[in-house]
Amino acid sequence: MSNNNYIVDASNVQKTYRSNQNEVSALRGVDLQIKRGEMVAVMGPSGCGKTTLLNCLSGLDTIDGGEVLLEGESIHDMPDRKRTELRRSRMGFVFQSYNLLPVLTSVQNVELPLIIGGAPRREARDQAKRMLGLVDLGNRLDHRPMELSGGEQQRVAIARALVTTPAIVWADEPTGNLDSERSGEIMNLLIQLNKAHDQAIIMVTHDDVIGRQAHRIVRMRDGQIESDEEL
Amino acid sequence: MVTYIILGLAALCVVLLVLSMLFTPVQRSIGFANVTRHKWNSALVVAGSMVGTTLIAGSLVMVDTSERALQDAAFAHLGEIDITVRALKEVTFQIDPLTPEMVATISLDALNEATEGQVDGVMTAVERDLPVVKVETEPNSPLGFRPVLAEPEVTVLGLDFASLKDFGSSESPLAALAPPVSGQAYVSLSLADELELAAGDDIAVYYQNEPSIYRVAQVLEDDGISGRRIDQDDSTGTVLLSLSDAQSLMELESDQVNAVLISNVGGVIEGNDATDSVEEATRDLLEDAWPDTVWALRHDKQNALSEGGGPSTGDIFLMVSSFAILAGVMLIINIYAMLAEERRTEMGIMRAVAFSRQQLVMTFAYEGFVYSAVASVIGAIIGAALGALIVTGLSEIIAQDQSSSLEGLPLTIKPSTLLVSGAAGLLISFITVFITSVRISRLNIVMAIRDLSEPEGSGPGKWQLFVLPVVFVLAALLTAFGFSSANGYFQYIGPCIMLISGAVVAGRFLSPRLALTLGGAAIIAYSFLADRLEEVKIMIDEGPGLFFISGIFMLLAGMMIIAFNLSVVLWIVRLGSFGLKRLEPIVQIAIAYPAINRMRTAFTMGMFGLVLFGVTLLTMYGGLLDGFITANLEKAAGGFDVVVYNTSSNRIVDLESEIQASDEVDATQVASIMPVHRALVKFPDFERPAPDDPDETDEEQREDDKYVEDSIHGIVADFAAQQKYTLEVRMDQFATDVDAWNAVVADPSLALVSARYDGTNENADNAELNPGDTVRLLNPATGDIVEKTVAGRLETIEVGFNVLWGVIVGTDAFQQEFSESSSRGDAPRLFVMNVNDDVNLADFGKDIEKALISTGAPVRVVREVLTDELEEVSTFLRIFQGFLAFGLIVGVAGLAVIATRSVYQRRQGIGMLRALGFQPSMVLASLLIEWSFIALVGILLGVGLGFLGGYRLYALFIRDAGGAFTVNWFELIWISAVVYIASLVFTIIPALKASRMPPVEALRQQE
Repeated sequence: MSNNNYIVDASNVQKTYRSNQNEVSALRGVDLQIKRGEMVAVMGPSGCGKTTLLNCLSGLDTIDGGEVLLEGESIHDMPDRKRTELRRSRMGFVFQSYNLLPVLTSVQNVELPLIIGGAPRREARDQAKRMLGLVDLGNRLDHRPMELSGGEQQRVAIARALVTTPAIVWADEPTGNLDSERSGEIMNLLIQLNKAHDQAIIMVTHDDVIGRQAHRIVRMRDGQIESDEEL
Repeated sequence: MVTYIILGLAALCVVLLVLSMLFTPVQRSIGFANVTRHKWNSALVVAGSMVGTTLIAGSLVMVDTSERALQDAAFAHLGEIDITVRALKEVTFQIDPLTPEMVATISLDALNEATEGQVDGVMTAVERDLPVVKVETEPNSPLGFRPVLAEPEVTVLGLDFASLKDFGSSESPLAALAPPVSGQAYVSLSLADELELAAGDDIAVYYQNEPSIYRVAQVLEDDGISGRRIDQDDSTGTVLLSLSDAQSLMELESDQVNAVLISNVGGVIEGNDATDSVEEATRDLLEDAWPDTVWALRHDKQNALSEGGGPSTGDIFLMVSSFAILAGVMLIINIYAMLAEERRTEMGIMRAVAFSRQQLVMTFAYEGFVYSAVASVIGAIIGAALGALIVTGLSEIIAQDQSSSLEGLPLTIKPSTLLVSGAAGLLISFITVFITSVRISRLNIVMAIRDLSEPEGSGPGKWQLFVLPVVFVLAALLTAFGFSSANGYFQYIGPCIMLISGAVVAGRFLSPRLALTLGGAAIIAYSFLADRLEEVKIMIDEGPGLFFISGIFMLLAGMMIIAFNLSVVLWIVRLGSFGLKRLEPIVQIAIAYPAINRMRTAFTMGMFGLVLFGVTLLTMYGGLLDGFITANLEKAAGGFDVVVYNTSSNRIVDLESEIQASDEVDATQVASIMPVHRALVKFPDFERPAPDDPDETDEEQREDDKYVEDSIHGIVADFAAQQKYTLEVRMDQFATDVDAWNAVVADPSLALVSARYDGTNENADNAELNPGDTVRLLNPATGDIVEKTVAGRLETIEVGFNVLWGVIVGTDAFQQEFSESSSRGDAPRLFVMNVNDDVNLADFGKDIEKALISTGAPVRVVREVLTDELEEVSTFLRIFQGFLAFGLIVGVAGLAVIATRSVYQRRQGIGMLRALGFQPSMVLASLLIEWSFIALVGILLGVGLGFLGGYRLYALFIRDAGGAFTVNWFELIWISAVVYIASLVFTIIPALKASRMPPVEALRQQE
């Protein structure tokens, strides 16, 4: 049964990858609940299913069994159109490889989710600039991703993820490509924004130091949750 | 020669690459692995690479077929005969008999001595083109027979059959036959088909309006002499008689002939090589021995095999294809640039693990070689099939063309065609791949590994700065040479290269956008201005080569302008979406990719542009020609319906009586018949331009021929009253043009002159004859000179049909002063006729032809001749369009290839967009808008420049002739729409695939 305190309520989530003769069970009945405003770090060795869990919980990927409720609604039972709309309005994504659109400038990348949502152009532009100012990139508005450093690109990606003030932010190794100094900066930024906007942040990371800055650490092994530790 | 160079280069390329592959196994295995890595993508690359080969092969099939058609005609109708010698009457140029002494001058021994053994046969003949009628006996008719079927122009040939065995390198099958006995004839199969003849049938041959009856003894294959045609275009068969029968028919003495046939050493085709030298030696011998005789030496086989010396159909197909071939090259560049972009990271890694730049190039080159090789094989086969398809279409058109003596085209595909087109295609695609590989190998290792863009100013900047000024200087020298040597090609190409290289160099120091835009605009402007240069105009007039080259430069200029002003175009597109909330993000994404990949976008647009430029130009040309001929039809017809030409063998003196006497024509349909006389005239006050090589003509001959020559026409009062020609100028005393015409008939001191005498014609000594001027006219037959006052000058008649030119006087004046120099004596040269309004002209023309069949008089329905001409040109233009339309596949397939590769390249971006909330329909719409934009701008570029090209054609050839600038808008819109829809159809599959891609799959970076 769903609990309205949980923004994400996943039960018995299963995911198997099939290719030719091979089958790999990436998730083997995962149960996970995440509260609003909670910052959760998902950790574990490579291949344990962290990214798959993130993709399945966010609705980017399909599941083979179980259920994922997002704010009480089963995300995998809704049509693609609605799921896409939900992603646009309630979620933000940050990826290890930034995934900025190389052909757009920083400010265009950040304003894009707002424009997709139908916000007036001027308003979208102002909000994007404000958000880039928040991540300390007010002087890089018209730079294209290729003209930015890795840390700057990730900050643009964070600005883009948060510009719609989503209820939940999915971050897959957000500091994976950065050195420790830049990683620290990004984490401070995420924590700061999490506090300011009361957004749930679910973050996949290898880095224990990064993980320890979350409210809770979920450790995975072989497609299952090995431990779930409140900090 | 070109063939050997292409094959040699291709072979060298293959050998070097194979050797190189043997010694570089690592690069080879990486290169080959890349081929098999994405089979579907490899197939697309092969498809793009094979377009050039396909078009080359298609064009070469046309060349093979037309060569074969010419050779077939040479074998069938000329055989071993390389040169025909005739003696002509002075002034009238009628065929004169040859005496035994004249024939002895060019005996086999004499010719071999003069030519050092280049002649292997000399044979005398009695021949003429005459009307031949199949007849059936009918005792009650006045002549004792009735006509069944008739051909107006058949070669009737009398030979000494005994001499056949010594004529030429291979013995004619005729040599085995006994000569036809008196009163019998052999006929060629082609004539037997036309007249439905078999052995035992009777034919009537008309000479000087008298029939001679012969019985067909045998039907023979058209095989050289047995299929001989004096007039390769109009003769429709052969009748072989014994020499004595032919002499008696053509009223010659028993020791007289009227032609000597010469065979050069070598077979039917090879013997042709010696024609020039044998002809010169023969002429020298004859002119030395018989200086007072006019000698006519014909080399019909040489003419036939060289298609009149102009560009062959195959050459024109190659020229037309050049646009599509170039588009194919651009496609290959685009594909490889995209492949390189996709593989930047792994290329960076390869460099990092100690691959040298050269090794990287070789890896790419090996991969490209495999694509090029496969593409060249498949392309050659598809091209041959395409060529076969076009030949079949052409063949049907030719077979249906009543005016053509051909029954179709013999489809011929030489193995060498497949080899050469394959080799040429391999070279084109491989060289393109190699150059692209060299360019893309210049990468910054770290940036490539991290997939970061190269910093501005890297790449070939310094190289450009060194090479481009050199190119500029060389182009300036070329330009100077072009002007000093009066070479139209260099006068055009030189400044264009100067503008391109100058603009690129200037762009390094100033704003590239400003420099390249101005450079492009200047090239387009110069293309128009250059048309005013005399030498450029002459070159364009002589053949389509320079015009096609200028088309390519105009396209390059258009691409320069588009590439450097893309942001403006995109801004306009984006402006259109403002305020439309749902459309705004879609358009933003749609235009972002073309904007950032400016050169690739310009190249893709250029691909469309190149092919559509050609198609548009042909459409415009067809439309202009149609409008022009239609507009000039009445002017050229001169107010007359039918023209009947008088032949020298069977003269018509009184056409009206002939018609009255005939059962074939309803004489009441005829409104008027007007005879027109024609004779040679010289202008003693105007001299012809000196020959290019004065040494070739002796002094005496030059003295005789130095005056400007033309025709003088004698017209009757009815002609003057009914004609509808326009006078450009006339004497003030005449209120109307008709008044001037009437005055010329009535007053023997007056004459009209053609537009040739407006002071601009070099061949007429730039003679300017204005109303009121006195002109002196020389009768070459008598040497008498008469003076005439110019009553008026005709307007130029631009369409290729005209019954009047030169000088026009009344019939009385003509008869008194010039009849001696008329080839038809007192008989008119032609008759013009008008019929009643309700008469069907085509039927009337056929009836007249039947009525006059015994004279063999050619009958032309004026409007029919003009419209047939137009139809023929239009049909050929359609075929060219169809051929070029195949090139449109380059544009469309190119866009499909680029679309597929783009989706693959952008999958992460698409995944991200989906993660951000882009619905699948938005991804689809965004991609379709992007590719539509590219296709539409490309189409507009091609159609726009094609339109400008069409306007140039109009300004060059049609405006001054009074033609209107007509545009076939419907056809242009229709073609553009089809191309656009085809591009959408071809790109919708990758777009749909992209939109349906699950976001998580798209986001995975690895393949």
